Amino acid sequence: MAASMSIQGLGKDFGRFTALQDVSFEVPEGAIFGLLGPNGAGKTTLFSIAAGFLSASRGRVEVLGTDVREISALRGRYSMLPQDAAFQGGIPVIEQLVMFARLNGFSYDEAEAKAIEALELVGLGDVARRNARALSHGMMKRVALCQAFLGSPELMLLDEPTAGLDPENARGIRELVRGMRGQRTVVISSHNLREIQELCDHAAILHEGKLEACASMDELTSSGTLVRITLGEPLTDAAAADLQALPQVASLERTGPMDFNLQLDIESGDQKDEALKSINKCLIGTHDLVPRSLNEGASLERRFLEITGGLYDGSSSS
Amino acid sequence: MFSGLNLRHIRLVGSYWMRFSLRTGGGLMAIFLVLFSGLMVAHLFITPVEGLIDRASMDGHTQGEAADDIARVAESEAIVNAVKWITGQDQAEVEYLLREQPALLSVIWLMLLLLFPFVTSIGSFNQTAGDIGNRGLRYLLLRTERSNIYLGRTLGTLYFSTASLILLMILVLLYVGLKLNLYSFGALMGSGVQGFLALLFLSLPYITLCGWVSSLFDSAFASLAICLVLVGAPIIAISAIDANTHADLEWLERLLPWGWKYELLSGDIGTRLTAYAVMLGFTLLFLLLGMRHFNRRDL
Repeated sequence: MAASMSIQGLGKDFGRFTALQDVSFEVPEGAIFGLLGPNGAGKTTLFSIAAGFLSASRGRVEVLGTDVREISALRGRYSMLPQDAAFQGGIPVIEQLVMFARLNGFSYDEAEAKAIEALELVGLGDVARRNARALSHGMMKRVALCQAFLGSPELMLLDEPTAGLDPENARGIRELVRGMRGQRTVVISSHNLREIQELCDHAAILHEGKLEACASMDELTSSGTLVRITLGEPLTDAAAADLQALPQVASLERTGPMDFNLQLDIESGDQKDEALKSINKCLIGTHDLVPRSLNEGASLERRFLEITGGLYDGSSSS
Repeated sequence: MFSGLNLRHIRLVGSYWMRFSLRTGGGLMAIFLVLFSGLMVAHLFITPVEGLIDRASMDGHTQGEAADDIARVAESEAIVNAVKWITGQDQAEVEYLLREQPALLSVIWLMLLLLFPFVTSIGSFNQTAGDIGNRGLRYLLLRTERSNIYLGRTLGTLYFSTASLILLMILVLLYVGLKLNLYSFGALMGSGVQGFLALLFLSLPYITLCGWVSSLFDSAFASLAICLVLVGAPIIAISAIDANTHADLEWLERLLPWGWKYELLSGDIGTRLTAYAVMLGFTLLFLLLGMRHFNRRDL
C-alpha cells in the first residue's frame, strides 16, 4: 500500500533537549492514523516538523511523495489543524479563510465558496461574518478545523482536534473524521485513547521522543486471551461467580457496573470459540444478561500504558 | 531561499497584511504617526512664514512682494549657514535647496529626513514578530513558502508607508500651495516629487532593517525596542564621538543609510541617483539577511 506520509529517521533537538529521536514510520494511504503518546512525548513536535513550522535536526518527512520543505508543491493537497495557531482577532473568519483558500490557488469567488462550504461542514455557516475574537473556544476550534478542510486535501494532520471541547462538539468532530474514512488520509493526535481506538485503523505510540510501537489497531490491541464485555444491565454477583467458575476463564475484572474483562486460560483459537460460546450461554442462557458489546483483545489504553510504563487501573481515560 | 517564490502569493500576503493591519488598528496608528509627525514638522516652519505673510499684508505689500520678502529671508546668510551646519552640505547644494527650489518645502523635507528613520521604525517593527509569538503565521506556512510570507509582509509594509507618505505630501503641498500661495504649481510639484522620492528611498532600508529585526523575535515589544535602538544608537554614538573628538566621521556615517540622506535631495542628478542606489543596496542587504533568518528559524 502506498504511503501518504513517510517519516524517516526524524530527530529534533531544542538545545540540549532531544524531543525526537530517530523516529521512522509510514502512514498508509487512505488510513485514519492515530499518533499517541504521553505529554511531552513529541507528538506536537513531530506534527510541527511535518507542517514545516519547525525544521528537523535530522531525518526527513515526505508527504504525498514530496519533501515538506517544499510546501508550495503540496498546495491544496495537504492540510493541518495545528494545536495552538491563532487567527487574527479583529478580522471576520470568512475573510481569513478566503485568504487561505486563495493561497491554495483558488480565485476570489472560488475561495469564498470554498470557505462557506467548509464553514457549513463544521456547522458554523452563520458565524462567517463574525470576528474571530467574538467566537467561543469551541467555535474557534471548529474554524481551525474548517481551514484544514479547505480545498478537500488528500492528507490532513489533526493535532488534538477535540481537546478542550464539550462532548457535543467533540462528538461532531469525531463524526466528521469518521466520515472521511476512505476519502482521504487523516493523522490524528489525541490523548483520548478510546476516541483513537474507535476512529483509527492504524496507530503509532511515541514515548520520550522515541517510537515505541507502530501497527494496525488490530495488531496493537490483539491479545488472544482477553475479552471485554459490556452488558445492558449491571452484572450480578451470581453471574460473575458463574463466569469465573467456567474452566476457560482465568479471571474476571470489573471495569464498571456493566463492564468487565475476562482473562481467558486457553491455548488455541479453537478453544477461544468454545470459550465464547460458554460465556454467552452463561450470560444469556442462565442469567438473562444480554451483552451489548463483546470485544476481543486488550483496550488501547491498556496497551498504551504497558508500552509507556504507566499503571493501568482498569478505568477508562477521558 | 529563492525556490518557491511566487509573485501572486507575495502580492496576496502583502495586500491582506495591509488590509488586516488597517482593520485591527495597527495600520491606522502607523498612518496617524506619519501624518502627525510630518504635519508637526511642517507646522514648525509654516507658522513663522504665515506670520511674515500676515505682517507683509498689514504693511500693505502685495502677495508677490510678500513672496520676495520671504525668499530674501530664506536666502539670508543666517539661514544658509544654519542649513549648512545641519546638513553638512556645501554651499552649492544649500543654495540649490533654498534658491532654486521652494525654500520652505526644502527645509520641511530636510527636517523630515531627520525624523523619518524613527517614524518608519515605529511603523515597521511588527512585520512578523507578533504573529511569530502568537503562532498566527502557521496557517500561512501550510500554504506557501516562508520567503513569500516574508516578502509579502515587507511589501505590505511598503504599501502602507508609501500611502502614508503620499497623503502627507498632498496635505503639505495643498496647504503651502493654497493657503500660502508662495510658489508656482510647477515649483510645488517638482519639489513635492523630489521630497517624496527622498523620503521613500530613505524609508526603504529602515523598513527592511525592521523586518529583519522583527523576524528575530517572537515579541512585538522586543522588536520595537531593538528597532529603535538599532536606528538611534549609531546616530547618537557618532554624534557623541564627533562632539568629543571633532574627528572626521563622515566615513562612519556612510556605513549607515542615515549618512546618505541629504544626497537624496541633491541638485546634482548623479549624486541623487547614487544616493538612491545606495539606499536600494542597504534595502537589499537587510532584506536578504531577514529572509535568510526567517527561512531558518522555528516558527
